[in-house]
Amino acid sequence: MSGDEESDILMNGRLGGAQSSLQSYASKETTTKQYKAPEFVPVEANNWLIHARYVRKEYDICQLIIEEDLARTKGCNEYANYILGLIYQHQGKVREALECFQKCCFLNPRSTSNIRLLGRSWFLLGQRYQAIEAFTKAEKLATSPEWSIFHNLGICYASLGRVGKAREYLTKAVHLGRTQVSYEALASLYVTENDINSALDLYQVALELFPSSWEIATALGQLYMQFGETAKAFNYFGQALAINRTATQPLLGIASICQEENDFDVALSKYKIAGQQLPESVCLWNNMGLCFLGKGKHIAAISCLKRANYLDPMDWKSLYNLGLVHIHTKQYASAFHFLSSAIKLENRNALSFMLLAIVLRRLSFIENATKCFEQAIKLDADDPTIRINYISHLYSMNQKEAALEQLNLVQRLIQSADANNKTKDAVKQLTTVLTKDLITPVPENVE
Amino acid sequence: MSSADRPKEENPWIDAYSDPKADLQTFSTCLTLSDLNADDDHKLVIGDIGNGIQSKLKVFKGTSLTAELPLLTQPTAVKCVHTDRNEPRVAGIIVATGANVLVYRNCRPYFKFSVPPQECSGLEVEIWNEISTSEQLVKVLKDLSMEMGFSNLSSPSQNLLLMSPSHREEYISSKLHCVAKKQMVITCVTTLNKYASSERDVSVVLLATESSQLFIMDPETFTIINEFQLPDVCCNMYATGIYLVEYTLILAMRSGALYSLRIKHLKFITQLMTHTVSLLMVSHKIITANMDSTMSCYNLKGRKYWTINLPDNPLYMTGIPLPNLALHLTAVCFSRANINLYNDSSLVYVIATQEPIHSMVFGKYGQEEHALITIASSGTLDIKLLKRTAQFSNDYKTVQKNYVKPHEIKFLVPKKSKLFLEQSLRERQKCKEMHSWFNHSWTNMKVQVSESYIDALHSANVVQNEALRIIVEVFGLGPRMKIRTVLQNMSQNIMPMNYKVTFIYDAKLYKIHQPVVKVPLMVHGIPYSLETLVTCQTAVAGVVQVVVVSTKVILSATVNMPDSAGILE
Repeated sequence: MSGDEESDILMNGRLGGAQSSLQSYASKETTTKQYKAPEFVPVEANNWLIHARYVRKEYDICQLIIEEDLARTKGCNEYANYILGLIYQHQGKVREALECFQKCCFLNPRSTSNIRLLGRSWFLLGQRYQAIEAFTKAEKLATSPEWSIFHNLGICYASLGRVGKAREYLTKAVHLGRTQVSYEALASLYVTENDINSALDLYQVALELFPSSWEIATALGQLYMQFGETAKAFNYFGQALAINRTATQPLLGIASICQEENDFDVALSKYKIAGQQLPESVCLWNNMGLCFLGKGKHIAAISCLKRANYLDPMDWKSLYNLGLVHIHTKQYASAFHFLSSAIKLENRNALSFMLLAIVLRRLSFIENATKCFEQAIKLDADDPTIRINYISHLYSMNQKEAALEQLNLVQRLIQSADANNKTKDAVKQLTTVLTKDLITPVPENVE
Repeated sequence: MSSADRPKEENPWIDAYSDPKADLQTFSTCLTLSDLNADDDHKLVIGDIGNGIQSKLKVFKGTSLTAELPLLTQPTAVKCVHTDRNEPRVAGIIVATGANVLVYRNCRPYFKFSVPPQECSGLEVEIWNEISTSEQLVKVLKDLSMEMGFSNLSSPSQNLLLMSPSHREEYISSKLHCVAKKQMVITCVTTLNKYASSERDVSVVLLATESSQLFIMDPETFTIINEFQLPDVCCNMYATGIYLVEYTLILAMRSGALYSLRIKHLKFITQLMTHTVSLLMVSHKIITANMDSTMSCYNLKGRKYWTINLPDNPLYMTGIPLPNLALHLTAVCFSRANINLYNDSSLVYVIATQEPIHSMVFGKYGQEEHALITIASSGTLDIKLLKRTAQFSNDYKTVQKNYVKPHEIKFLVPKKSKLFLEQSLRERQKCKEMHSWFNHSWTNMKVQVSESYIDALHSANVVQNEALRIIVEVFGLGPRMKIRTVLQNMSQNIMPMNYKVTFIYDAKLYKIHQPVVKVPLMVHGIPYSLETLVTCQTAVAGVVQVVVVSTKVILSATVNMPDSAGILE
């Protein structure tokens, strides 16, 4: 037996202990003399198999193969550790994943992707400075600039609130990688910085690059909606829905625009679709309630608003709306309770005080009503509706002079600001009533 | 077959053969169809990995197994190519495993080709050449591995380091003649016609390796005719064209990047956010099935045409060219079951299967032009033939379980009872009375509460007692954290009052925002939670003592604060 063959047998014996499959190769070798068994199996021999199992998401088999492979290579297979780390990360075991990536970095300190994943694990563990350290190291090591390193650095800095650095890195990532995630990260950074125009420009570029992304179209729509450009917002929401007809955000956007335009049936139909996925959304139920109120269906409105209130008892808006609906149904005692709870939760809203004042007047608590009106005016001196209601209250108490004083103020307010027809009509009516009363008694007094 | 109980949608496939006992386990890369004997009867060649212990090369003809050859190692890929232009045109089977390409002809071993090992760093070669004692060699190599990383060493060095010390001496003495080179491992294989696009012509074999290389092997001479260095390890390839005329090669990297290789020019296409499971090219469009259950389509410049969500994780994707229908469908099999056929981005047919299909291949089988051969997870071999009358249209109706049409949604606005309506009517009539009654009872309750409070004050006592329970929790990772102290009075007779909670801590380590927290009067049984914020000043984990005091210390608890190093700069 020559020396060469001896070493073969030795090799096979050694490896056979680690991996059962190789035992059969060794025994096979004696029967089939066609090919010699490989002299030794390279460390990377099973990487393709690990990868194939990993991309098929057969994590259990993959972990078994990795375990076997790590036993064979004494933990020195970089790629097996790498995939094991990714599997752990997927399973939410960030600490274990971190250890795997640390091993990878030790086995191949020159690889940027190992360091990048290490940084990612640090980031997921909330250790941002360590993450930044890792990414900076990767940036230095990288032979050519890599977008993902810049992107991750940008995200780290953004989460630390260091906007300048974050913007710098994310801009680099956007130019280099042209990936959707970087565009979205940079645009949302612009939004937090209140640089809306840059954000809009960036989203538009991104939408051209990724025309099939409903997320970007939705983000654009939301931005325009914040700006009050509802027509544009509507278009972008429509575009998003054309791509994904069950996406909730654009559905809600379109519905709320329709609601604002008093197109309640369309709004309700959109809310219905969105409600399939968001059955526990307070805002959704609240808005549906208001749609029903707009259609004059008070009971349905109360049902929806009560559901909203049940889902979040601390939400003052649904309480305020419940108060409003109960005023419409003339249930003043209930309205009082809803409004007073709304005021307890949020005492800076002038309109709640106004509604409470109206309720109190109906319940014949005149003095308290006056106090509430005064408080409402103190909170918002420029709202004509509060003053109009106040005037009618004063008039009913026969305090005509005070009422006239308020009327002057209201007329000035209406002139300075755009008012809708309803308020103008109300003011006209009040003026005629008050002045008629004034004009007729005046001659008598003179005489 | 009665046509009455068939569904309206006509099944375009004929279930030709199914063998649940075939017991085949393989990947789609080890599955191929070819005319092996030049008798116009296409055979199915399977690299069966068995249960991972014994791999076999199996050849099926019609419904029976005609040949079975043992394989020493698990095959990475099995392909069939014509190795020469002699008549009869007998195809050879190519089995890639490890660094080797085994060629079989007429089901007999024909040739073994090995991918040459890669040269390693000069330093390492020098070490191997100069040092002959095992201890010294291991020591130097260990140092080198610390510096360069273990993964970058040559295979003999890696092997030596992993070996148990008693074997090292022998290994080195037997290996002295061998040069430190990195041994290759083939990761994926594809074939490309060499002279003409005829399927009976010679094809070159493209081999991607673990060391990020691409070799083009000519099976006529069994030599490497071209070699490319890739930026990363390639895990998936698709080739179209003719090697000597014009060809396009799409390469998917393990990092998720896509590259194209056209006439010796490697070009970056795009970076995917996920890994590709499978790769195809249909009329200059690249289609990828991805790990995040999507299928996307790009052009060669990297512009994305579309992405669709797949119902499940894709396991493999294969092209179904139907030139007679002017269609090129894409078949995707999923990890739960079913095979979906897509025409571009629209679903045209779903082949329902009982179990997940692990691998499949489409092509000529026997005399049939269009056969889809699938192997299910249990090892069932299934052969389906496409009917000649088959039609696929884009408006295939899918029964989507989760999607209901908008006008069919019944939204459950909670109904109100009759009692509610009657009550609201009554409220309309009598709201003033109701409200004054409410005011009346409200005042009454206030009086009662005040009375019982005064009573309680009389019987209240400041006593140190065991009946006080304390729980301290720390929230957050730092630097800003929250300490919550929950106090509970367990005694029914005593109402402790005038208690305060304070903290004993190192002011260098922490800043406590509210150092003294007043405890309200504690009613029996109700937990009272008192919170304060804490900010770490330095990155050292310390201890904070929580103390409950009145005129003296009543209770105390010690808290080990979490280590907030790393979060602080």
